[in-house]
Amino acid sequence: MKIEQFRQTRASELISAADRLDSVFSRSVNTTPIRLAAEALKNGHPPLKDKSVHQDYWGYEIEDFKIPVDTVKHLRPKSIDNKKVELILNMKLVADKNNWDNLNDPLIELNFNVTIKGIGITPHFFCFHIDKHDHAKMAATEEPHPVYHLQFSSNPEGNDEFNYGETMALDTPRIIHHPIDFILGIGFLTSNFFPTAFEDMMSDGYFAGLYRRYQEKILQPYFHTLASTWTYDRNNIIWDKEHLCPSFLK
Amino acid sequence: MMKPKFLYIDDEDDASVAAVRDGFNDENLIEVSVEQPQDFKAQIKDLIVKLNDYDGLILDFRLNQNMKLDVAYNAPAIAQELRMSVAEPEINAKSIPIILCSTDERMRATYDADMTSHDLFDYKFLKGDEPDWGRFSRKLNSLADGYNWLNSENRSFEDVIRRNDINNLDPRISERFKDPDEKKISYDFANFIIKNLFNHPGAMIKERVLAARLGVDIEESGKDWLILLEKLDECKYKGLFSDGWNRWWMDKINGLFKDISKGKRLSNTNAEQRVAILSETYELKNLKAAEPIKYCTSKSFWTICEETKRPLDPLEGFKVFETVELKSWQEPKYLSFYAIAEVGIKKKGLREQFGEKERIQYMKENLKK
Repeated sequence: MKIEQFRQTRASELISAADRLDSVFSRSVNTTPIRLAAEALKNGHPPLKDKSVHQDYWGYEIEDFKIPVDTVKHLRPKSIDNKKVELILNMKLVADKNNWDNLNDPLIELNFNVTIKGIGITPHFFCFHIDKHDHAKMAATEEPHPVYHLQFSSNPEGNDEFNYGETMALDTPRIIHHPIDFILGIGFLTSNFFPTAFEDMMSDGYFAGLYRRYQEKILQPYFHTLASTWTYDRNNIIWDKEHLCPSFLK
Repeated sequence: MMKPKFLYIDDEDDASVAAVRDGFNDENLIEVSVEQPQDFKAQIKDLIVKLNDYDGLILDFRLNQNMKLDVAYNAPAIAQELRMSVAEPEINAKSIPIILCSTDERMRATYDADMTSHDLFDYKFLKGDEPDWGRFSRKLNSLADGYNWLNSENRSFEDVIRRNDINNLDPRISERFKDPDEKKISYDFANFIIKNLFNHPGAMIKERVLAARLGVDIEESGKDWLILLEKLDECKYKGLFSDGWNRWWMDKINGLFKDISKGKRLSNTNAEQRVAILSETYELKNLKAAEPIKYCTSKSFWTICEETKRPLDPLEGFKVFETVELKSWQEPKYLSFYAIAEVGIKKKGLREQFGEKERIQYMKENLKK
């Protein structure tokens, strides 16, 4: 498949995800950031962080896509009004088309930044990101740095004057995580922060099929590679995998 | 340059009609002449010919109140017929702006309750107490010029909004204008620009929303706000009707802020941070950051309270009831708790969505504790 056609296909899948979100969340989400990302995906070569562009790369950037937060158990401080909590996603992804159908890492660069904002006496933030750390390009660190990791933080912009209250902040562990794109990401976010919306999203056969295809393209290489640490016979697998990753569609 | 000519049809022939005519004519931007309505058939026949010499039509909402005349219709009926005759190739009537005027009571009793006719009119104004003739004249002048420009040749959506980079806008906005085989009449563009782009935040925002998103208190900032607006000229909407309505492109504002802040996103900063960056970049020492409305705490303003016109974080607002369902690329409007619970909503037709009542009640009870 030519790169232009490949990009068109990925863009139309993003638009399908946006349509599904519009339908599930009704007027409480604005999918314009996804549609702009799809438009840019169709039309261009996404630059890498070092500004270089490659003919076979594809990708997109989604800015400020917001969804309401429904799961507010144990919300603290107690002053935060649980109706005034929203999740803001900012993400950037660059990938190589040639790694879409094989067992190589499908992504070149990934930043998947999530800020959850709640309003009490003052605004409060809770953030995490899922990033790709490319060991070939980035400086070595003493602490473990899994290629794909999830890390929590609280200061979304790294502002010096950020009010930390009684919390303390330091680098939290980079927890090993599988790679993620927008389509898998929206499953991850809704399943955790708006579970009924996740169920609604997946009740649509077309979207569920799309989600499964992205699992196959993005998760399969990752988990096969990890599993290849050991040789095993599939027939010997006993453990029920259903609850190992609840947002995983069989 | 010739002043645009408007025909004003009103069933009365009294001081109130003369006041409308003189109100406009004294402003010297448009020229208004008055006629009384005829019976429906004759009126339509007459207007289709006569309007070739005019640039716009002003209709009083109620045309059937004068017992001396044999008129049994109101403004929407005539507007509907004129809009249809423009689309009818055999008739080929001129596409012109149609403006509705009335007294407040009449407008509210009938027009506001019947949404089916809202799309027929490009603009409406109240001829009640102290009308702002200067403001109305600028709008009508802009509408007349805009329609004439649209009528003069086939225009593309890019021509109309004066942007070639429409892939930076939500594609759903330009969707209906993309098919070259589908004939567009001037009214299609005019109606879409005013009703869908000007009247709702989304791709474009108005001055108060712009100030909220930049974190600026307009009144406290004095001249520095006006200087800042000049600096933001590259983000200003320059397309159809831009001389009658001041709007700014949100994608351009976002881009400009990112440039001047070395990559910070406007949405991820609060008012003080936004104003600090703006005042340093443009050397505007008197630019003042806005403070939250009473009962609000967030300074991450993104919208305004439609009653108080003060900046508001949508998370702390209550969605406004809209008579026409929003397009999925339009953003809702909001009211603050302060406006709802303390000062009361004075602006006509403005109220919160029914679904917000529970949250409002909950907040009121919390305040009593």
